[in-house]
Amino acid sequence: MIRRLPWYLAALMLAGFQLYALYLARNPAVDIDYRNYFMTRSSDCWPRAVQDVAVIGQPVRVSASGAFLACGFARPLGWGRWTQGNEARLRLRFTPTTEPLVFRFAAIARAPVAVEVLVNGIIAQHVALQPQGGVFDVALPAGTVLGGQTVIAFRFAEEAPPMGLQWFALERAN
Amino acid sequence: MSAALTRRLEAFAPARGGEFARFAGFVLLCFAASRALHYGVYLWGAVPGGRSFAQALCQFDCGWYLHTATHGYDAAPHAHDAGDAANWAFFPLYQALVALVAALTTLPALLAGILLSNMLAIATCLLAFAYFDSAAARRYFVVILSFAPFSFYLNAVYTESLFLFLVMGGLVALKSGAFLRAGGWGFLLSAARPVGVFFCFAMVVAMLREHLRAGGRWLAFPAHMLRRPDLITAILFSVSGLFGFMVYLHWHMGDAFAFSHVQRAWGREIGNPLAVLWDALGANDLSLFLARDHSRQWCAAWTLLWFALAGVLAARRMWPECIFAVFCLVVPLATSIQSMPRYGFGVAPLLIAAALVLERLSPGPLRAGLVLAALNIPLLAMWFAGHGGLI
Repeated sequence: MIRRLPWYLAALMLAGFQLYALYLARNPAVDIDYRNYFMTRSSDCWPRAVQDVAVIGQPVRVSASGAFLACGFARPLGWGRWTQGNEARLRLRFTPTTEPLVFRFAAIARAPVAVEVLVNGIIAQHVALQPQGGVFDVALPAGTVLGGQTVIAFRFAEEAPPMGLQWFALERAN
Repeated sequence: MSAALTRRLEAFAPARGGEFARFAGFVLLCFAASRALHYGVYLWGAVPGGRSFAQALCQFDCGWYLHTATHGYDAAPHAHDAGDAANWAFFPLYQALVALVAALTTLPALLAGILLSNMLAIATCLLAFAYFDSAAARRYFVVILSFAPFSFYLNAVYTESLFLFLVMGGLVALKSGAFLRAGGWGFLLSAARPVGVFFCFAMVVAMLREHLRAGGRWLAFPAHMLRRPDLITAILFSVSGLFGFMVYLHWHMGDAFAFSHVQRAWGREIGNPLAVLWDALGANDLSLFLARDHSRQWCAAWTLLWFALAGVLAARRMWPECIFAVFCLVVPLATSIQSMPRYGFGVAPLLIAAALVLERLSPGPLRAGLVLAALNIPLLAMWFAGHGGLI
């Protein structure tokens, strides 16, 4: 028994270490975006960091640039990008202003699709998008304009056809 | 030289010293020939972008291994179109060794990785001397590692060579009943790849086999294990590489299971392995492989071959090898059919089974090498050209 004791202690230490690792695994220290995307998979949208600053009045062609695309967009094609999954997000930073702004975007669809446009997580507009596409304006709340940043999300029903985003811009409302 | 080391060397090569020297010469000859063949295919093939031989060998995941070896683990996802990929999926041992070799030799990480992979592949072949009882089988094993389809992974910055080496080391230890040593190999295996952790099952089966051979009964095995804390320690130690990586990940980025969760970036999610295989067999997309794209049917055909080789192990009652091989196939298969040809080639027991089949067929090492090389050359040319179906 005495000769076995060090082995029992070694086994106990290893088991303790492994239980500690499992305890850590049960208690992750991650943010809500990571949890929703990687752990529960309740979101199709991984919000990657966006560093660029949008210039008011200057359209951004998404076929040429991935700037401001936070998540949910496929690779660029000649005319723009298709969305992927149930949600696609843009993260815009811009110089704060007191003037009212609108978010303007041009989009097409493979088939008629209903799109919810959310500004900072709140539904701002419902768009019935047709295959021939169109240009749409979404008013930005005054608080967003003063803060100099906003998250625009396009949300779709399950199994809905994707939306093709061609360009977008921040424009003065008047 | 310490007495212990002297005893170990004497145990390895005493009366068989000359035989071992001849075998080592055969290993080096095969590797020199195969690497010359790789270089010949590189010169003959149209490698895009004027890439060097080393760069042409570095395809797909190679970039992840080099990134990790030079920059360590990511703090946040950053790669792929969705920006959701990070290097947490890649277990640390191979990249750590690449970084070590680069530091010791002052070579760039790419060349250090290629050097490391080749050294480990040669060491795997040398371990075959201790594993195989039959001289013919061990020579076929060397021929397979040198010339078989997908053997070019052992000349690239990929974990296949390390995994093969560690599994061979572990199997040699199990064969000699050195379970504590096997636990050490298992520890390294579980730090090298996720499936390395399943070596613990091979250990348990080998312990059970020894218990039965010593006259023990099935039902008495749990009690026998409880009276042998050294064996329990060996088993627990064999999986500790994984747990160590989990603790590191938690303190580094907050999620101990990040190596599993980040698989989402590669579109992998746990499913029914039989359904995955069945769907892939019926995919009817073999033409995609010829068009340099990923073909599920191609991967499924290789998966069937790997399972057939696992069947050879079962038929020969090589249960520790068989159990480990089946785990190494079923677990990745449950997530996707993609990469199954490569995963199978990295499982040493399957290559052992292939060597035993060749021994039975006895075509001779030269003829076997020529046939295998002829099958490997087109794949190698595709690899140099960045063929997406070989990832």
